[in-house]
Amino acid sequence: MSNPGMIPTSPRKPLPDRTAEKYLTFRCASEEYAVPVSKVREIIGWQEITTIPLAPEYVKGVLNLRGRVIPVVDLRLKLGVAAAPSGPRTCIIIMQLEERRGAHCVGVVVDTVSEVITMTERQRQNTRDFGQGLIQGRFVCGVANVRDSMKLLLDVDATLSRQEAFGAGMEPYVA
Amino acid sequence: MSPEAQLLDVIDTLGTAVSSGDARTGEIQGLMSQILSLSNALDLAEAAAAARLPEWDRLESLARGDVERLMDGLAGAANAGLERRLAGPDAGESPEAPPPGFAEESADHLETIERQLLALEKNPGNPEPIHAIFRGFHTIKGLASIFHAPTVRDLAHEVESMLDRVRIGLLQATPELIDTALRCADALRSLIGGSPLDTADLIKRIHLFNTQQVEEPAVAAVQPEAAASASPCEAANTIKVDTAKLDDLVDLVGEVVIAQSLVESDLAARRAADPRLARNLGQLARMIGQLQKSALRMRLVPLGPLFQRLARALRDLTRLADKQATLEMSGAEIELDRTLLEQLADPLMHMVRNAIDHGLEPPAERAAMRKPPAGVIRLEACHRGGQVEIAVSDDGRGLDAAKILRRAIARGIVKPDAALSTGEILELIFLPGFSTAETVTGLSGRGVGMDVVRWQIEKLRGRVEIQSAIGVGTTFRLRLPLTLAIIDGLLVRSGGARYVLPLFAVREMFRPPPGSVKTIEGRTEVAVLRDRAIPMFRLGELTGVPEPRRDPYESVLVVAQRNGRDCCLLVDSIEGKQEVVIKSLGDWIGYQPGISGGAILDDGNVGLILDLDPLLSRSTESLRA
Repeated sequence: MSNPGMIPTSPRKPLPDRTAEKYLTFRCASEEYAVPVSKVREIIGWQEITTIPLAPEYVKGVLNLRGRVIPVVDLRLKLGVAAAPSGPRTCIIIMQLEERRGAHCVGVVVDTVSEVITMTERQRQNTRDFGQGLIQGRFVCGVANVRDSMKLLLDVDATLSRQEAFGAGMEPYVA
Repeated sequence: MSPEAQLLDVIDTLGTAVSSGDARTGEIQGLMSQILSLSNALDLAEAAAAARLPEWDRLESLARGDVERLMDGLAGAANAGLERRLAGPDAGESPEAPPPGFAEESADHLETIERQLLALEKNPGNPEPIHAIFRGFHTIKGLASIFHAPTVRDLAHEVESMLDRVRIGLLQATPELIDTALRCADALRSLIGGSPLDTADLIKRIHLFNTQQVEEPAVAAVQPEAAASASPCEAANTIKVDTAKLDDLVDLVGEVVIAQSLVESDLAARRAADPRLARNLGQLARMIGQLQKSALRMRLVPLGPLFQRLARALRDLTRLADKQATLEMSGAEIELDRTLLEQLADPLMHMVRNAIDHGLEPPAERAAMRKPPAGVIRLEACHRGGQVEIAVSDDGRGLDAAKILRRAIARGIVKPDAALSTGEILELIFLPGFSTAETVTGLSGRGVGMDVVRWQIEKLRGRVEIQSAIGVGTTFRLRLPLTLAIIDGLLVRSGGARYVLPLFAVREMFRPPPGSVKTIEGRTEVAVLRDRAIPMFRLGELTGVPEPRRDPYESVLVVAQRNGRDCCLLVDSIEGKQEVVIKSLGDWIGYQPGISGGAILDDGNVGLILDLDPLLSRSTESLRA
């Protein structure tokens, strides 16, 4: 698509920024979040979720995705925001996690999915830059200002940590 | 290499060339049969030599002369085929890199070798094992020549010549010799697996044997005919399939079953009015059922190889622990799901290790007890009530309930005034942090206790039970499902959710008659059934799904077995019996005690498959805490 040898046809259309990455943005409570598209497998509408006994509240349960059983996390509850009833715009984003133990798919319930945008390195800002301890949440790793709207970059791996949901538990030992 | 050895190499090379169709078949096959008869003649000649029979000289010269004449031509023909075979893309690889296929081809032979070596050790006079072992090493040597693995070939060759001397009675199959042969098998396995290894020490050990002479020769000389008979390849009718492909097939068939039940419920109304449709649907259902059964059967493998690994471990462990034990096995032919079998290896190994380390007494102590010096460890498998039962038992010192209780009290696991039955005390060893070993030895006491064993077994939807008597021995009984893929379930509704209970755990179900549910201390509920009180649990409370407390007389009681005792479960209603395909909840959720997995129900939603024992223990533990 981008031929490095090509001369830009218009000075107002700069060479594509190598740091540009596509993000999926979605709304959760009053905030707008973004996750790299590379972590998103698919987006499905609301469907029936089976509760898992004695799991943390934010683990909504499991659903059937074309014959596969996929766990689902409610982002509102995970972020400590009041729960909301599911509506016609409620979506479940199926995210792909790479963990030490292999790749998992986890569904995330969000209020509504907004759009896919491209963000460059320059637009992204690490929350560390705000100064130590200013941002309490552990799940936002950065912010980005795109077209006068601030998107919170969700740290998918920290948010969907299995360890945090179920603890190390008594994992079978590996001899 | 001696002419015999060279000849044998050529035979193997030829065999491969012929079977891979690289050589002109008719021509080579003719030569092959000649060579085979020659090699039999050589065997005979050697046996005759060993027994100092007069035919020796004649036979030997005949055989050797013919062999040498045939050698050149044959080697040429075979190598031509071989070269064509090796001229493939990986011809440039380093000679020691194990080529694909070598490991698979040798695995069965190594397994046979190991099994037969242990059989030989048990019964050194029996000629059958030694032939089988010899054939095994011999085939590996042949394979190694074909796959260009000189280290493997040379080691196999050395073992083979050592075994040959055993075969013809020049050497005796002493435990040391068997030990060496076993080590060689291990070395070959790792060499073939691709890990380089120095075989010089092993070869030196073998040479030591080869220089030994038996004082009374020819006593154990065995009939070479026996070697020529018995097919070396029992697995000729099997093929190897990647398990991922098999799992895909089983998953897919599971989906077909669900799709079929959806179609059937869609057509339920038309079915009654249309006999043709009803007949066809019935036919489809039957066939899909059969398809599912055969797909699931493909995953089943016999317990034999696992038992074999345990037998090998037992042998090494008893030596390490300076104890004597014989192993008795039964039910090695019983088949289990492959995945299940793999995950069973660790807990079973742990139990065998425990039996040797903590169960069996040292020979002196056994003598004092008037027991035979060698202990007996028994591995028994059988089918029982749709499940597989595997028992690991020893005739050792047994579990000391008083000691276990003292220890549990000392560790704060139970209260000093707790009134526990002997059975309940024995169960304590399954609690985390409990270990009866007073000393940590090289074998056990590695921080892995019976709690892990129970965890691993329960993860497989299995159960562990203990029986033990002081001075008589201990038996661990594992009860396991036949397969991890499918379960006969009872579909129940509780609160808004539907759950699947494994049918084998359910004894009966009924609507409790008015007045039959009582409380104890105002809290614990019991149901009175046929004049007996049975503890009652409300499923909605166990699963933590909040719901208004229902009137038990409008609900259904399911009586289930739990640790050999009855208990009952109050559910809102029963929706019927259903065979469901078990889906894992995935690594992200991992194993949750009390949940075996999920099943896609007819409405497309996930229903949780409950595992009653851990579910109830978890809730009673949380009550105690």
